[in-house]
Amino acid sequence: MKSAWLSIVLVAGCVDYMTPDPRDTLASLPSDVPTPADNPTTPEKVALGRALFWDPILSGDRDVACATCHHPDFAYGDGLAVSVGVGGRGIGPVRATNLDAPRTPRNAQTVLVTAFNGLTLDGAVPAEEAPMFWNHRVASLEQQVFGPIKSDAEMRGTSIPEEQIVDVIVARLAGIPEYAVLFEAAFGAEGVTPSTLAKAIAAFERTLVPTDTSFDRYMKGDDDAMSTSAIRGMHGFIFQGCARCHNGPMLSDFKLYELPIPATHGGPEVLGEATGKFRTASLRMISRTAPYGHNGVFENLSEVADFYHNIPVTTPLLEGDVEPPLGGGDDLLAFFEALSDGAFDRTIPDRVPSGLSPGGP
Amino acid sequence: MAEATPEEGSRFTVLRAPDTITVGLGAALPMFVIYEFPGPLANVTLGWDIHAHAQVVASAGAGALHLDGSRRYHGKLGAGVRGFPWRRGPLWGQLGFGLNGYVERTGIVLPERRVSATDLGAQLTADAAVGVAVCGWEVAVGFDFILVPTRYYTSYTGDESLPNRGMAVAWIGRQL
Repeated sequence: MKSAWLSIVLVAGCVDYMTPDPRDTLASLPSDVPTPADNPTTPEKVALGRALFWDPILSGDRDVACATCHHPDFAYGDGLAVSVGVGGRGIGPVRATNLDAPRTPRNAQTVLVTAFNGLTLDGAVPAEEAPMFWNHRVASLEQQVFGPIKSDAEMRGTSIPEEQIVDVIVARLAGIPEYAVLFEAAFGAEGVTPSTLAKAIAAFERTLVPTDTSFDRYMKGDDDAMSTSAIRGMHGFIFQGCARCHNGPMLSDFKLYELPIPATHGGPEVLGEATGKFRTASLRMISRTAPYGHNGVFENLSEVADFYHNIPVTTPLLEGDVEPPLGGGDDLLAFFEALSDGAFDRTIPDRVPSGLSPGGP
Repeated sequence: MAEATPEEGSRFTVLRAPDTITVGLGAALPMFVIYEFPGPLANVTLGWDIHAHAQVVASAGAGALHLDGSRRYHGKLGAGVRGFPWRRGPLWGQLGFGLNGYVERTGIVLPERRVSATDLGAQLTADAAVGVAVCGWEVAVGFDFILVPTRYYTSYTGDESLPNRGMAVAWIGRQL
């Protein structure tokens, strides 16, 4: 009898290891943040960038800041399917209550971890080439800064032409003594220019990297960091093929794909453009950044899992049945939580140099 | 020790030796979305006649499921009633309940490290089966419906919130 029990224990103790295709593996984030050669991060730039990030003076009508749609209360997103920039009031979903305010065509991605955009299993791309936005239309955090500032729906409004808005903002900043001091501390004699404006905000955004998540700690050797459920979810995630695209340290291959994302929740409201090629979303901090999809059509991660479960097989990418893995979706959600539980900077400044309300009205 | 009265003796009827003992080998096909792969199954069923057309049955079974990177070993203890439409006829149908326990090992080799986890769980099931018994052999199919699932399925709210509705089983048995 004793030997029988011993046999059972030995058999049950065997672990069958899955070895994913080298292209389908996952990895922890490195500790060093990629930085452009011409914009090394300094405390002075970060302090200036933080002030600019929160200051609505960067918008045409002084009513929208970067932080309006990238707010720490929403993990540096806004909790909306598609963002409401100009014409909105408040923070988060309440901004959608103004039905007259224009909607941006896409979901606001979190700024957290964007310092590592472009990092794949092939390695990091130079910070100057890091892909930005859902369709990778610009490269580097520095260049990304000007996109929302120039967008009429996001920050510019209609009172200032697109070709003038950056110069107008630079002139505004130069006229505020406190900003003049901050720019001089960060950039010396270079002063307030479009370039230093962008570099300061980018430097601040490169600090918005959460501490190690449970996944990172587990990958770095902490055996207790991930729950059994999360590990089962990770196994199912890889086994079912999710890691064909959501791979590497960022859980994104940073490639563009066209998927049959629905345009609506089923009601009359069209959330945003439904077609086109968009990047594989990073799954870093994914549990904190609902809703999902480039047009925010998926309200929660269960809906995303169901989308992939029911998706028509139209491309080789999606061959095979993608389903919620082991134990149903709960394990998958536990794995996503393990990718999302890092602590991050939740500081909301009391004031900004312009004297406007931090983050906008 | 005083002898049991006839009335007391009837209370112990169930403890008498079984009237039938059947051992079986077959396959388990869990309706667990990822486990759409059958695994081997072995079981033994004890039957006590309680009526010309009915038996009380108790069963025990064990099986294993395997897919790349995951192995699940499961065992079941069950009890139920087996009915025979015809007295000693070849056909039978069965309804019962079971307690299914499992241990699962998961492993992945990633470049940074080997990932592994062990999971234990149990489910309460209601089961139904039908079979044909001829010349001491039986062929049967059944399904174990999960009544009380294990601790998963509390967060996920999508279409597949209860993908593991149960496990289909099929076996060939030999009456001893």
